[in-house]
Amino acid sequence: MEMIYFDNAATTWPKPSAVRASSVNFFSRYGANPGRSGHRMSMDTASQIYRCREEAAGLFNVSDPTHVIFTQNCTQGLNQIIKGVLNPGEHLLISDLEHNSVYRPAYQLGQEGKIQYNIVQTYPGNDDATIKSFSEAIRPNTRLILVTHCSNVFGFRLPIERLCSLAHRRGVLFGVDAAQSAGAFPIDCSQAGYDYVAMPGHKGLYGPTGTGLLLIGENTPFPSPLMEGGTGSVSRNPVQPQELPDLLESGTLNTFGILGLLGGIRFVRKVGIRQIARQEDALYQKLRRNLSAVPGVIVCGDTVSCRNAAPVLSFQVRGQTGEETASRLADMGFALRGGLHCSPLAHQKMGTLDRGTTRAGIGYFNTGEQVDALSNAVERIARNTR
Amino acid sequence: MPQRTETIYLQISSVTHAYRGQRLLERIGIPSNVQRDSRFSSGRGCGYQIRLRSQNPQEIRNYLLQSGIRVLGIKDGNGNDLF
Repeated sequence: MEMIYFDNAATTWPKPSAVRASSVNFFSRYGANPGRSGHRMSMDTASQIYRCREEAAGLFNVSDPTHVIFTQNCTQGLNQIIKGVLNPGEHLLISDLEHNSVYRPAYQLGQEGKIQYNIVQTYPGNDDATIKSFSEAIRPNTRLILVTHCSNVFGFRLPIERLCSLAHRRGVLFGVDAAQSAGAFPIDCSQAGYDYVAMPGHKGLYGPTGTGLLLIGENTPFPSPLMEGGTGSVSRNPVQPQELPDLLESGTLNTFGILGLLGGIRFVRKVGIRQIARQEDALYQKLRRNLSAVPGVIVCGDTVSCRNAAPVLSFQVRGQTGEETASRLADMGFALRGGLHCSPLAHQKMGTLDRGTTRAGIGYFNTGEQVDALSNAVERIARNTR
Repeated sequence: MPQRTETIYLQISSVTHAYRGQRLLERIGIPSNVQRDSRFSSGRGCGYQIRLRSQNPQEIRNYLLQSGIRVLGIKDGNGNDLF
């Protein structure tokens, strides 16, 4: 039985052939340590690493490629923002849709008494109300607003351009968790003026797991590093280099992953983000229509709140937990994720905390036939549950 | 009298900034190579350099500086400090 993959919100699959071709160059041409030695293979490898920074800078309109930082994943980038930007006693605002990669570091620092933070209510589908909610939550000591671009459970999209403007008008730094949106929606760092954008390399950018990017704004304070160490630069000085990217990139880079990420970003740029968004949204809308018509299935979020949503659709089959439905779908050959998706805040907001949801994450390689097959499978499960 | 074109070495702190400098020079039609700073790096330990031919090292340095590339020093082919 061939698997039909709808777990693209966790990581995209399959990867484009260009990603595989780019990754395997590690074993033949670019296996040396980049930025450490002067021999040919080290220099060639460093050149490819820089090429990946350039491609990422081009995709997200970052004017200086040295402000593209490689991370292990989006979570590392988000921790870098929270722990590297906030000083003791400062205040952080996050949304009520955040993933644990934002919520847990905020909670931990709050428990330790190092920072203050507030969870701000959002109003998916009503951007004015969301802006007002954040505006009212800003305090004199608010240093940073850090929000998800799109909910990883329900797909709701927050108005990050307007929130960034609000933050800057009030003298507050602004960061984005682009876990579900990087590669799926246009993100223009220079135009919007985002201070920090964290993203995975293995979701909408189609790279291998173990890759991520942190983009730093042009005139933004650099975060303090989470760790210090070897950078291959100014080695006699015990002080960590203060230039990007070395300030935030101690230790040997994940060359294999970054080469794959280079292939993924080139793929996204070649196809075009707007084309990817159009294609994925058409499938998302089709799945939404199909499942909404199935008796016993609850599709989370209404058409207003899900306007312009990321192609992430959560649903429940009446009488089942999200995990149970995902497990039954797995038995039928469908790969989806069930449960809380590491986002208890979002489930609390939507009243799905007890049973969780089953989540379909749509990717560029999904097809209309696959959406119909999934819809039919969910209908069979719902019929047998009644 | 026109200045003589000679090979110069721009000392840069990191390989990333060296490659960025190379790209910036490409934009104005100046070919260059990035290489390990094996000859001059003992003062700071570990660094890279951009090797190019130029008549006017000061102008090159100013151009890179405007784009945020710090040139730590400029040497000629014999290791003499030009700046």
